[in-house]
Amino acid sequence: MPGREKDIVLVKEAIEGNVDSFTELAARYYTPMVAIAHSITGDRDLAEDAAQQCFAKAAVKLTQLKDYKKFAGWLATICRNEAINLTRIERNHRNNEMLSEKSAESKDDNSNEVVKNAMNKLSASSKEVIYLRYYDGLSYDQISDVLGISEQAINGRLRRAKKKLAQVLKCEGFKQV
Amino acid sequence: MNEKNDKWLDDIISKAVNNRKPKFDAEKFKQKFPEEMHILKSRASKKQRTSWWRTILSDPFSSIATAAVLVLMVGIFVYFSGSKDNTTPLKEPKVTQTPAQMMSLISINLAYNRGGLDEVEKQYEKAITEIGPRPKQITIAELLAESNGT
Repeated sequence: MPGREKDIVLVKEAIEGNVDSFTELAARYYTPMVAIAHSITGDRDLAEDAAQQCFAKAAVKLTQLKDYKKFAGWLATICRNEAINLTRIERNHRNNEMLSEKSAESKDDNSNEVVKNAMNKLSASSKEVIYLRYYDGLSYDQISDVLGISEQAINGRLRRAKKKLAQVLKCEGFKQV
Repeated sequence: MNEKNDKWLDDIISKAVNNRKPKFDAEKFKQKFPEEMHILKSRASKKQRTSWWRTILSDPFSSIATAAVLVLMVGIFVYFSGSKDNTTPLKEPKVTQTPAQMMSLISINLAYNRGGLDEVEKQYEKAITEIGPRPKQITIAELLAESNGT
């Protein structure tokens, strides 16, 4: 069964109280949701927390979903809000220090840190599409489902984001550019 | 940006973004959010009550078909209820019984009020019937000449 039709069946079952169908949906969309949250929080662990909170909220609000075909987009909206909230809470908790500075994963490799800093200079939508594309190599079709835009639009947005990233890296004197 | 640059960029982005693949653990999730899972499960009992509406509303064609049926039903209802004579049937007017009473001024007045000259004519006919047969050449006016005082 193709992805979208399978989603519709699972959403219907989940609305009727089937927990297994809901967890299957969560498993299907866990990676894209972590990717979206990661593009906002800049922190992997926080992104996973946001994705889980997003599914918990979706479990409660699932009956509010009018169009089952738009489940992925609806979920992405919840996830963005959760990621923003968690980031705000975490920032307050760390006395307004930048998350990326405290993040353990940002210290693992100097070149990675440079790339991540360069990515932080991209717009939120560009960063989001990059994370979605490079997290476990999500296909344009899957990204299209989540973002609710066409594959052509995703291709354009991704191309522009990469071009901008290359320029930023070049300006910052990244060796391999 | 050429293809070679693109490949190089792909590699560094992949490395920066994706350190390890996230994996969803359903059991841990259920343990972490027991209240939400309970809310989800509790919907199973409400399934029968809401499913048919959801089925109709989720499909645009069935929504249109349902709307059409409703409009048709309302139309049929209005048509039949409109054609039905809702007014209570008129009671047979209390008409005086004897020809003399029928021809009294009050009785004729009442007949006129009920249905105008037609009704008066009917009342005359009824009175004549009560009186009995009469020669065909005598008109009602002639017959009632005495009653009218002419």
